[in-house]
Amino acid sequence: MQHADLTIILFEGILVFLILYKILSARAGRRLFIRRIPGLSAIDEAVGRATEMGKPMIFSPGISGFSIVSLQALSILGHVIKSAAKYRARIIVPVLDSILYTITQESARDAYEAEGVPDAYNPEDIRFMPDNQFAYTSGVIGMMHREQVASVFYFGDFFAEALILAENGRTVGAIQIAGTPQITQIPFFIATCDYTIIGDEYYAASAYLSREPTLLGSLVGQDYGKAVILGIIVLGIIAASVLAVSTWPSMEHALVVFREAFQKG
Amino acid sequence: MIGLGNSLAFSLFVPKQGVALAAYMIGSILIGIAFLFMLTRVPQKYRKILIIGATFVAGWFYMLEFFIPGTHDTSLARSRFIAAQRHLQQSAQTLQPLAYPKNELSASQKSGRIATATRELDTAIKDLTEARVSIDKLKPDLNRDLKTANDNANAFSKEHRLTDKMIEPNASTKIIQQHISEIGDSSGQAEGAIAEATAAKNSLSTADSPEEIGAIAANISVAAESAGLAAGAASSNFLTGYKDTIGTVSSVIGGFTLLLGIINLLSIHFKTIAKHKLGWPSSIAFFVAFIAIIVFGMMQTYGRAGGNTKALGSAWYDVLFNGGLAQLQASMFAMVAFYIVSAAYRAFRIRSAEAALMMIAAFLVMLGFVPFGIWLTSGLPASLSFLHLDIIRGWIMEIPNAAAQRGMAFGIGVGALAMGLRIWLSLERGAYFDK
Amino acid sequence: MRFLINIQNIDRRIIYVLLLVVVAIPMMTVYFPVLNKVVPNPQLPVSQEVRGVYDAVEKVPKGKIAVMSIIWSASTDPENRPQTEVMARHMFQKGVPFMLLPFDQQGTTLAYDTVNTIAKEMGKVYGKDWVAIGWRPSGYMDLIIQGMSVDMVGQLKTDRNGTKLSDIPMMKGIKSARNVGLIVEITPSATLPLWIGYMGQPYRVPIAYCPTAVMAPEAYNYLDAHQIVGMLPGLIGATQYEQLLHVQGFATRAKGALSTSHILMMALIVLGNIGYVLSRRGAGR
Repeated sequence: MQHADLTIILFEGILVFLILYKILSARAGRRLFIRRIPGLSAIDEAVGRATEMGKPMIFSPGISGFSIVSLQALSILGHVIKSAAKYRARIIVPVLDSILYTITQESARDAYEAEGVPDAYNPEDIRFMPDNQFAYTSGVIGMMHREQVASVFYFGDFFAEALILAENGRTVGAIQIAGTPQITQIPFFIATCDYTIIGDEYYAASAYLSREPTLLGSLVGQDYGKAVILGIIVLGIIAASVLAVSTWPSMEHALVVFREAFQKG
Repeated sequence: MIGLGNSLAFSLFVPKQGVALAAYMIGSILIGIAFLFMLTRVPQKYRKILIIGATFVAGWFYMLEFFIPGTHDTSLARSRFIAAQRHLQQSAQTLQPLAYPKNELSASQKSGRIATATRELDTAIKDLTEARVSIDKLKPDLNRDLKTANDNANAFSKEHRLTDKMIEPNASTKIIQQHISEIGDSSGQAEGAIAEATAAKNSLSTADSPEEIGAIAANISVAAESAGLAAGAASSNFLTGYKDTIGTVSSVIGGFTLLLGIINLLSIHFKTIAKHKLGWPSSIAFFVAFIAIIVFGMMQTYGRAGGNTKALGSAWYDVLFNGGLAQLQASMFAMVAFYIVSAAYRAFRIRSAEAALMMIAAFLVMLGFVPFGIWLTSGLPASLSFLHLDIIRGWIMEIPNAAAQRGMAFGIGVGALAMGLRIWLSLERGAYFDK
Repeated sequence: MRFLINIQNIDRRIIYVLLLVVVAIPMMTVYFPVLNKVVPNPQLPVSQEVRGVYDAVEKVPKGKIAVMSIIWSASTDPENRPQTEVMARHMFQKGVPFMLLPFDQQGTTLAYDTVNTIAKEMGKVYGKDWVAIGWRPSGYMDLIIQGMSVDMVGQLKTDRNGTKLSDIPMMKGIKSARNVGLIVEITPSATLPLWIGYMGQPYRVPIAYCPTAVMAPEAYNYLDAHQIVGMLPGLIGATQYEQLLHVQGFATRAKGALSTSHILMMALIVLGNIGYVLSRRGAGR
């Protein structure tokens, strides 16, 4: 049961301040720039393709429970639904966690209502799947093959099932877009999906899609926060290097240290 | 629990037993249902406000719990212990070169180093002593608090005529007891570190050979470890004791949503069968498995010990769970191997210079991990040991890989912080908290 | 020439069969010792991260226990079970009492059976040398870790048979995180930060990490920051550990399969690229 010490309070304070400050200034009307993220631009393409082919889409919010990651996934889902609702394209959302399931239902209904087509919302397309990694995986694979889906979106936490899902999506010929903060799974998505959103782009997704000042401001604030961290790292590297050099008595010892560093392996 | 007195509202939370307990439980469930019913009746517009308000209030708990310093603050001692640990490490590091027989240092360099190391030791001893004094000071306070908490708890159970069975070990007394034992531990560790450091300092003045100095440096490292251990002490504030309760509340809410999930599952599969939709036999399989596992699970759990029901239940449960589910999952995971090979074969094409670089790195890492690759370069002479594939693999994983992972981890961490902040303050205008 | 160009489009079913064959053959060496001559199976140098785990077990002070957190299930059995085996074996050898703490329903039984077999083989007594807790839900892992670092017995209450922890000899005097000398996290999942954040860092308890190979790259950060003392990266980590303990278990047997499967993968990648380069040249003309 650890509590924040002064360093953490200071550090977290700076990050929170930067993010909130940028959000407020963006809301006050400052225009902010955001670079192109191809994977996110492709969402409309994927929805369009499903509409043309008259086949449904699948959106998987990952296999973690109710968390920040899955809430971000729902935020992206909202945008995908809005885009789909325009063309009345059908989207199926298999959810693994029961708490997340109820929230997904709610947010899907909201998204359809926001687009003015509340009747397009079908509660049965938000599906609760068994709370088990591979039972979920086989459920989703079955769905892909039965419905012959046109597009699949993976946004959320994925683990070993990432590759299984994406390879099967590929087999049915779906266009696939993925994004996950689970770094170890990114290579698998890159190898099998058409577009992959890498690392922290995941948290930029909703800002990019909606272009809302609040989210854009938050994104810029995040980048300032990262700059602060980078500054601390650089300072640390300088300090450590100075310290290391100052404790070397001779070139010979420096060589010993150097050789040891390579023998560590 | 002190200060609430005997008000009517408070008497609801006094532990109960027998008929009172049953009535209490039924009453709670009814109130819960009524509350849920009311919530669904609330118009959309107000519901949003309700969600925003509830999110904001709930967020405060964990935030305050984290940021409010502990009542018996050990953070000063903690930072002193960590500083002492750093000084000790520094001292050991300064002595390190003297322990290499090959390093031919001049007498002045040598004495300079020993002087620096001694100075660091002195600072560390000072820090350790100060920290120890400051935590020892907390002891009487804590003992008094423990007594008060125990007295209060006893008075409370006497007043409400609680039996022993109804009393959970009191959260606040538990935490205070923990503090007392921790402070004792820390104090002991600090004492050990001080003794080690002082001994090292004394022997340093007479030490001469590299071996002796090496041994002293090693002792100082041990003292540094003890100083680090002394720093590990918990602290709690007035909210810490309620963390368990809040956890229970959230798991109860989770339980309700599970029911909703299962209803959805059942209704979808029922309709699939009724309408003979594509894949309807699978839905029958679902019902069979669903019912079987519930029935046999219940038989196993609630059957009379040694009875036939229990034996039958656990036999079938074993077949379904270990024979069925576990094997299906294992084969599902095993499929990953096949997919990895086919995906790597398909995707790994040298389309650019970067792709070529990545392929070389991938080959080196793969070879460096598997016995065959390690065997390939194992014949190299010792002077070329840095060309061993496992060493190269280690370098790639520990330097470029770790750097990249760290970069992404920072980005993801800050992103999660921003997302959390937006949700807590209801600034997130995605679909979840709509306009 | 055409054959070489077509080689970049081998049917995936052929690849699947090839993989099956190259993995199965080395595993058969138990039944057909003659295969040992064909499959390369050299001794491995022990890497720094594996050595770190070994040293951490050696250094657990008397009077402290180790906690072995089990989050694996049947799916990652081939990687995580050998890790569990070597850790249990080493702790039994060294006389470090340990507690199995499973957060996975299947892992509860699988890990118990694994350790129980080794305990019987080594003549170790349940309750004195080791203890197994029943399944705890992984969703509340953070709360459980926080709770047990303050009050071990109060949080976990009973072992898997329903015996009160306070009645188990090994748990005498084990009150909180201060009595834990080592945490071993055996998992295919991203649960390590919970142990680091709630027990490792606040109470300065060393953590040994045993992930599946695919999760290992992420952990080098923690290793570098000394937040974990060592790591067994997947099966190969267990193989090296078996070497350290001088035992020959599943991990040693599977060593050959690791080699052959990776060789196949690399060969396929090279072939695919030969075809790719040739077809591009052809197109260029």
